Amino acid sequence: MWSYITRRIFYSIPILIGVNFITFVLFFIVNTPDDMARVQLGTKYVTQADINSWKEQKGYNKPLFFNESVSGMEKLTDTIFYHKSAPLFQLDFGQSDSGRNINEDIQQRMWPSLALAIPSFIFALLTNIIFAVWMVMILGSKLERFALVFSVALMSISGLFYIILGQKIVAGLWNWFPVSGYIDGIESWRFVTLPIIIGVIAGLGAGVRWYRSIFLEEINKPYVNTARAKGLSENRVLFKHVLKNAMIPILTGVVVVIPTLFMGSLIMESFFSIPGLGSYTIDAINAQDFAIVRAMVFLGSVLYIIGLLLTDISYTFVDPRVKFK
Amino acid sequence: MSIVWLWTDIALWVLTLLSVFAVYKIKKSESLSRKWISIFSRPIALSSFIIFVFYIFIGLSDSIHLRDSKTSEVYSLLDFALMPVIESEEKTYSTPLNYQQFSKEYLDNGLRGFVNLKHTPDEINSQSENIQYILTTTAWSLLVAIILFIPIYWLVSSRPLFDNKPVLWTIFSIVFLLVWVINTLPEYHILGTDKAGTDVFYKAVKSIRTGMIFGLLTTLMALPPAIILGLMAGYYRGRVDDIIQYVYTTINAIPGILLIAALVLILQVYMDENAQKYASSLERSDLKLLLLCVILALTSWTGLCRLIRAETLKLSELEYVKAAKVFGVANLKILFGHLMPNVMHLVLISIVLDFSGLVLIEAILSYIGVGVDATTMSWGNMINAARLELSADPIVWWPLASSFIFMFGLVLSANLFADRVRQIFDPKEGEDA
Repeated sequence: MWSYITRRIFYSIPILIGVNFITFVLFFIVNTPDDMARVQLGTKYVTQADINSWKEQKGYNKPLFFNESVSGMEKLTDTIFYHKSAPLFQLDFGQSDSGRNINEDIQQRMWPSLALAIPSFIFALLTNIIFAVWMVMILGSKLERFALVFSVALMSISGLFYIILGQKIVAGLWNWFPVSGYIDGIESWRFVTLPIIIGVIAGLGAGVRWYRSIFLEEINKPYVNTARAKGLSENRVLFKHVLKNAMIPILTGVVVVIPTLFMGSLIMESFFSIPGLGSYTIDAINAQDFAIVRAMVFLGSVLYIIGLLLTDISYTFVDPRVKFK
Repeated sequence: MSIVWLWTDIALWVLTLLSVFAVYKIKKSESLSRKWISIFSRPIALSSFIIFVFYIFIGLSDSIHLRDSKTSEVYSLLDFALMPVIESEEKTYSTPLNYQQFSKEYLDNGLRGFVNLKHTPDEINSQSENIQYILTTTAWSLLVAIILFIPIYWLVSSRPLFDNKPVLWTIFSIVFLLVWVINTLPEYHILGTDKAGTDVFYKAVKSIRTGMIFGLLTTLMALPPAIILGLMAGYYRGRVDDIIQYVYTTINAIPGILLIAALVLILQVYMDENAQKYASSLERSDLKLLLLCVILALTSWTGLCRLIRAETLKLSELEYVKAAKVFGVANLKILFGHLMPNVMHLVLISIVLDFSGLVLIEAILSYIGVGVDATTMSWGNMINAARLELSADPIVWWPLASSFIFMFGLVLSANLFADRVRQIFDPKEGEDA
């Protein structure tokens, strides 16, 4: 088991290097430090001297991959590539282009993101599964067919619509919740409840159909027939047998998402002005602060890879048949 | 008048030719046409397909651009049909089908009151006259639509697939809607006007092309890498499989929306620096739309690729592939002649499923600020502009509502159709699940 896990961890290193390389190519070669300087300093009336001093200040004044002017190993290490990517692997994101410490920002903004993302995730999961089970219980009935079309309709509505309308009606007209904003601590529930509800509803259509298809796949398997032939009641078959076995595909689909919850939700956070990592990213995109975007891309990838790793591990727990190949 | 070919126009027409060719192929193959007939045998699928095709026609009519030789302005065929509302810009907001402006203004006699719009029937001076006028037009349209529908009914209702109420109702509704719009458009701003006085109906209809291109081109551009790499990974295995798996896991690992945002930001910087290269702002925004599709395709081929790889792994264990290998059939021939036709159902399912998702993503990208060009008319841009209007007092709801209804129509019909396609083509789903 442990050797399996260590091997999986080693597998993920090349992926991280790949991610780092892609983001480096994107942010430094396609879009040169000169371009960045121009964006940060404003496009007009910028002299080359201004650009050079900005680059020097931010540490972008070195060669990209290979430094001719120094000797030995420094030829490879005294470059932008080394300086900007080696610290990433220690999760040291350095400074944003506007001079803020990205690590401090992330540590601070992680909590509001989690306060919104974790309950959203749990409630969405429960609601989706409950409705999916209900639809399997009434399988083949008129009501089920209607519910199916209804869930297609739900997922055909843009998520923005749910957010805009929910914010306008529930918070704006009825005043049940504040329209936007955030307070740290226990009081934060007032601010996150509405986005959570909207998030659950917006994902309901697609989610219910997804879990329903998992249950249906399970329900057509021979063991279900056996259970029925034994004379078990339909409910017992569904809750005792089908639900238990469906947990495997559900779990593997879910585990990969959990680490990425840290990243927060881009849209929700910016609509409700929740100072989490999602709105942090959006602000960085709008300000064209590439250092932050790059840090978030890397962080997101690390979390995704951790998710994959957890999936593999959890697989071995729920389904002992999976051999450690 | 001379025809102007924008990049997306060309792409869209090539696509149309390809789909005509596909229909021809399907008609020739008996097993395929049987499958398609069973898709359409569900009224809800046929109805949504008809609506979808209606959208496509609007989009295509918006994809033939003509340049006026005198003014050198570029208009599409659809623009010519909508000319009455293009030429009559109002000063500011007006509600749907209204004859007066939304906000009060100083009149000639020095008092404040509602000004009549430019684009409204001349003889109307009160709200009741206005309603009466609209009702009369609607009644007329209904009559004309019924007359037009009778020959269609004769032609169509004897055919087996069309022999049911929902489908006939769908066709009738489309005919009626068309007639009504043709009657009303020269007299009214059907969906009102926005802040700058531009007709909202015009904007919503023009956005159809953007949404369509975004959905169709992106899915189609993602196909070649997904199919080729998926087949190769599944067939060759070993080193090739490792490399291809590595590539798509790496791309998957990067958070999708951030990768898109990063690519678009870079594109924006590049296009700003080379702004003088483009002949007109239309061509520039068009190129941006096309490149946006490329970017989305780059990030979205991995899902299908993984599916095809898994399927190919299974298929290449089967006897017919082994036999082909033993007979010395060339690898390429096995890949594209023997394996590819047998993964096409996955491709089809992914095309129809991804389309609607992409139309929805367009809106979100525009909201984040990494979507289509600000000058391109799209539902995303409309929603984005309408967000602040919702908090205005009295509330300005119609631009937002219009964009949502138009978008909902397209996405819902695509989704319902996709559902049926998956039911028929996905072996996992039962024939009548």
